[in-house]
Amino acid sequence: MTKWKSIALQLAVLAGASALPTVAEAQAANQKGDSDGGHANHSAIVAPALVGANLILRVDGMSCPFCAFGLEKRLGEITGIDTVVVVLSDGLVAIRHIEGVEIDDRLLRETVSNAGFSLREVTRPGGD
Amino acid sequence: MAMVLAAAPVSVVAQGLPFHAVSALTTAFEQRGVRFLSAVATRGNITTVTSKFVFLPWAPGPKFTTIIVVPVVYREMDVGPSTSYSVFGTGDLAMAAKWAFFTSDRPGGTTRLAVVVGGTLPTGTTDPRLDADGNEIRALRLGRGAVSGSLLMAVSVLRGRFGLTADIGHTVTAGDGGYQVGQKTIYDFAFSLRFPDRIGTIRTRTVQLYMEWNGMFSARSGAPGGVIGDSGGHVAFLSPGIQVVLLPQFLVEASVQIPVVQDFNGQQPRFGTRFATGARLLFF
Repeated sequence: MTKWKSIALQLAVLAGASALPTVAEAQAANQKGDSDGGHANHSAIVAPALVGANLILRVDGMSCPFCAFGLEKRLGEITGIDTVVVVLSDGLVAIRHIEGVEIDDRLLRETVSNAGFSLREVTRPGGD
Repeated sequence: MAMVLAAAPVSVVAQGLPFHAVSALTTAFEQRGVRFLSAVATRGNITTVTSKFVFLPWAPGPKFTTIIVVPVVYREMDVGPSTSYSVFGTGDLAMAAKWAFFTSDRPGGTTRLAVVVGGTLPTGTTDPRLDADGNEIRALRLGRGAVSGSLLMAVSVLRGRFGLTADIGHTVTAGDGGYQVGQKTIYDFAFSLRFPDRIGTIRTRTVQLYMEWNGMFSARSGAPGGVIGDSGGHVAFLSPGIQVVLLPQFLVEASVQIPVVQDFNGQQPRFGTRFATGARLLFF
């Protein structure tokens, strides 16, 4: 894990999700940041996507945005999941779910598999 | 000879992420997508404009998908300074099923192998188009008039911004009233390079540059009375292409196919450069 990702995760754990930007806010920031092609602001895009996430999935097999679109959509269809942000180059998926909802690892694995990819790891920054 | 004029080294399914080569991927596009592509091709005195509607209607699992291709074709044959014959209609309906039987995912990349089984139905226009002397111009038949079956293997290796796709397939066509299209072996290689290298979210606009090699070996065709000597051979195109992912669910693409190998049996018209454009849409 790179330094900035580690810092982002630690911040999420220490400060609590409510005090941090939501994934939706991060997503909006990402869309704004991506309009320049996304290359120069890569770190600035990825870090906020992870901060505030309840779940961070490490997904193998992702290499093109057109392919990964289905993953974002399928995960977003899971009941209780509020926002999904796929961070392609790092193979990460940041998920924000409704408070109190439990998202089963097995369901996540099945959904990622059905989208054509492999779930490697699930991290819960908030510890839920 | 006329029968083989309709032949072109393009896979029947044409659904891969490269423009022409068949991908082994079974991800978003293969699960819920549509593709439209249109190509202009010339061979000798014949110009063909083919528009294909590619539907991927059913994907029962993450490693299995089905494909339907509906071609609409306009073909024109120049026979003199001010004389030409043309025909417009549907081509043969193509259907295929793809099974990705090997997957090895890794961070930022994947290696996949797939087998594609498919074929065409004789739904294309076969109404005889007659010349001034009342003879049928078989080159202006848009359908083969017979079923065909294909078996194809594809491999895709993606590593970050780089991609490599290759496929090889064989097609056999049934006879039609004494006419027999020669068996064909199609092969493709495609190398891709993505810009930018690092992608944030999937909303990053990206450009994929492709360089493909699309080839086909054809056996001699047959006609009532025997084998057509001036038919079959090896043809290959070098095909630079570009895809621009404008939205996560929408891309536009274009490709030029430059004929670099035209090793025909006997005397046959030569292919000209082909131009193709298209778009793909995911409907999640």
